[in-house]
Amino acid sequence: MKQNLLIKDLTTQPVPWLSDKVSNSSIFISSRIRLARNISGFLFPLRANAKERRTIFDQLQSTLEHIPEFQESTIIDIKSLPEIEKQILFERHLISHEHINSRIGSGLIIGKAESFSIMINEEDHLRIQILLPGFGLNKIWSEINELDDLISRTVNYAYNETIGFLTSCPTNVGTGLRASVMLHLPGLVLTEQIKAVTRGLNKLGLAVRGLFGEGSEAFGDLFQVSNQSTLGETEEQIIARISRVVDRLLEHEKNARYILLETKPNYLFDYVSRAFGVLSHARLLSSEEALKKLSALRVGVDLKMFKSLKIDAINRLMVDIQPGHLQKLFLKKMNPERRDSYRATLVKKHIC
Amino acid sequence: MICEICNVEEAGIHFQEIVNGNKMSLHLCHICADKKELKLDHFKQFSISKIFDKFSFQQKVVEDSVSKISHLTCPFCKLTGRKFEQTGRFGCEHCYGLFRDLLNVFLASIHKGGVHKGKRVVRPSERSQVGGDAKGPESDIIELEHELSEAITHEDFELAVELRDQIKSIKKL
Repeated sequence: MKQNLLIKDLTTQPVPWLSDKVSNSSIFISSRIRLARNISGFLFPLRANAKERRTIFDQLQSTLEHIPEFQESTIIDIKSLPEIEKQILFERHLISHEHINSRIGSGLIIGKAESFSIMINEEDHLRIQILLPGFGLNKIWSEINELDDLISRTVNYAYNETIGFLTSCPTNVGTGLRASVMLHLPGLVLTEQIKAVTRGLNKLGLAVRGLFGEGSEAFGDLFQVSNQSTLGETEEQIIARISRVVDRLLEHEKNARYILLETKPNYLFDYVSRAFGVLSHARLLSSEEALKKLSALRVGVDLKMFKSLKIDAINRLMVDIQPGHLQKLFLKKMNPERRDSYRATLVKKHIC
Repeated sequence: MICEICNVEEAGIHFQEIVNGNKMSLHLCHICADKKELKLDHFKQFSISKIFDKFSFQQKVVEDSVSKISHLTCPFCKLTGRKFEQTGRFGCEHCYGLFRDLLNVFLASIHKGGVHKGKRVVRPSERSQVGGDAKGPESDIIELEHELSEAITHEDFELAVELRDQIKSIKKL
């Protein structure tokens, strides 16, 4: 495994899970599965001391690098990274917010071309994740299941026959699996149906969260739907439950857009055009406003209102306007106000 | 099923526990649950007292459940029942055996039942590189640790010593 690759290399690449090439619909943004795993015989990371966490990091590194699938992956000691690089990893959904506040032994393994990632010593010893563009939980499950088996052939997982994989938080015990789909739902937001939909999903035991998962707000009409429970069902059952619901959501969203187009076409076109107006003329843009307006622009692209704009370009902007990526792109550290100015310039350049 | 507080809305949050062998259930709609500040996210940030405090009429049950664990300390990671109550996080794999009584109550209410139905673990070959014993007698150990904590609670020290030795001998295998 390579050590600490330059994060600069990452920012020159589009985020793989936002590639439009495989997207089965512009409504589905990406799908993700993560598995929480712990190593038998060690205290869980939140309870372990610095020395034990370091041992876990070192042992995982020396063990996993013998697996052929890890040959071209990179291992990163999060604590040694400058703040901006941690922020970039967060914006690319490779590490959680908690992992930014890293401690000794906090690590990250990134597979070749970001094909998978493993957080080391976050809440659990291993948090294995695969993120793909569009809707594809079944494909991800088969890949991550294989990867998990490969790891468990050399790492002895904490596991109990009755309650499955043992995790730091009992809300993850059993399969340790959290599957989520990120959707773009401006139609449901504009027709004010989103609250009812969220309540309905909660009733079905599914959580609805914002762009950055737990505790985050739904910026830019982006929502993540994921399972709440991890025990008492097979992985396939959990995935099937989410897939069924997400299919219905797709229909609801299409319907909402259709209704808007039928009943209030001017309202809808105005909504998109105003966003274009702001994005093409603003001198200062906060990331929140930019994301909101780019979301509206995305609807316009779906409605074929713009000849030259592509969903791909908007997806990429949605990542590049975030503070870490923005500063890396312009190769300078900036205060929020300067960032707003550079952000406005960047957006203008790409949409006009 | 109709909400037991407003008797109008469909109940979307189902709360269930077993106290002294009797099943107790509570079914709420999301509006009433919201009023009581009980959102599903509370289950995520699993804090027992946080969940239970919302149901003042079940205070007795809360106290019983929590008092069952508050005096326990995990012999491996030294996590106390109180600390677990505050953070909702276990310190090590052995905590699952120690706090089993409480888990039995909660796992069924936050998950779809209390038994793992997902994939079975693939164990390492004999020369395991990371982690403890490859064959995994951990379920026996968890069982014995639970009995050990019970024995200590009931001040049956003779049994406790016997169990401690059994655990030691399994670990040596």
